[in-house]
Amino acid sequence: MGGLSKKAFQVEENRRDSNLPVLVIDGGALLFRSEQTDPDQAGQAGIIATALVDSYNLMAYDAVGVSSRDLAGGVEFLLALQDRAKFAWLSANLLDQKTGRPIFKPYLEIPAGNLRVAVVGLTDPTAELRAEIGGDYQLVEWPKILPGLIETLQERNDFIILLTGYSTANSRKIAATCPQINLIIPAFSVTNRPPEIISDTTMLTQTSRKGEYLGVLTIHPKASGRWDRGEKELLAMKRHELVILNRQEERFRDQPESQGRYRQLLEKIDKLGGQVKALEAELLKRPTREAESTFTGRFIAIKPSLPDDREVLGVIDRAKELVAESPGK
Amino acid sequence: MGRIGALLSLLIYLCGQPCPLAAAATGEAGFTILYSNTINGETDPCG
Repeated sequence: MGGLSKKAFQVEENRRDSNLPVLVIDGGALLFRSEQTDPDQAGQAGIIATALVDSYNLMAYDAVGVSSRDLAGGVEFLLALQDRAKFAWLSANLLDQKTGRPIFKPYLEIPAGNLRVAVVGLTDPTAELRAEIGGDYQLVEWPKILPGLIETLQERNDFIILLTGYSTANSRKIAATCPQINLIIPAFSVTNRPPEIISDTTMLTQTSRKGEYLGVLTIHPKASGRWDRGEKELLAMKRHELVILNRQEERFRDQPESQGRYRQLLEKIDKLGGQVKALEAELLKRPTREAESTFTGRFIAIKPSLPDDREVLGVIDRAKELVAESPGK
Repeated sequence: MGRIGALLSLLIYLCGQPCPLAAAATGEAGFTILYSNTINGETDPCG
């Protein structure tokens, strides 16, 4: 938990250095180590969970997804923490059994300069969690709730982000069903997963576990919603390479002593020409010539050598004292 | 001729490239996302 004060320093530095609006979000699985807390350790886990929320408040997080693991202290515990949080806990599919309404905010709409970004939360409905939440709440599977919600959000937003406890395999199914979702950040991960375009309009990315890294993604969305896969740049590079090879071919053509090299050159030209034609055909197949969304992404390691944010450090030190004093250690 | 050829091919290459300053110069709309996941209530390695 001590690294949070260093992470806070890094978040603030990135926020200060950015000339674009900055959103700070977490895919979920923030609070607990497992889906069920050991009763003997519940007090300490609660202290740590509270300190995490206080730290995220100081870092001015915008939204965090509610994953099954965040409910390990019970729904009421998270509802109490929600009152303490200055950011939104998001879950569109954890509903009140009686009213059928979401008990956490299902989504958050954030202005980002001239753009409007919607962030949606989706909780993974594990068997353990279903048993844990009892009869007052119900968890519904994403196909029943997500397509309609996303359809509505798309009408008034330029970009849609999904924070979810569902697996990456399920995230791919979600992307296929709801192509209006532009970015998915799943809650559970082991290693950094660099931004991967999983469908024409949806990208998926994650940071590694335990807060070892901060993910940074700069996005310029376009109305088409399609991600630029860099094919135009690749075509330009290959055309450039072909021009150079053709010039070499002219030079070697009348040099009998270089026939071996000349043959190799012709093979290379032939292969490259095929690649250029294939890329040209691929780009021509595109339904429109609309501009595509572009992005750059990187991961920043939260190193022990980073300075501490004093306020977050204070929260963490106090939590450590409370854990040391609490019974059941 | 060789130099002119190289210059021409460079121009062809550059014409296909997006200008890195274009977004800033035109004020292209965008935003930055700082993100994390799977903190797991853990004492992280920096502690």
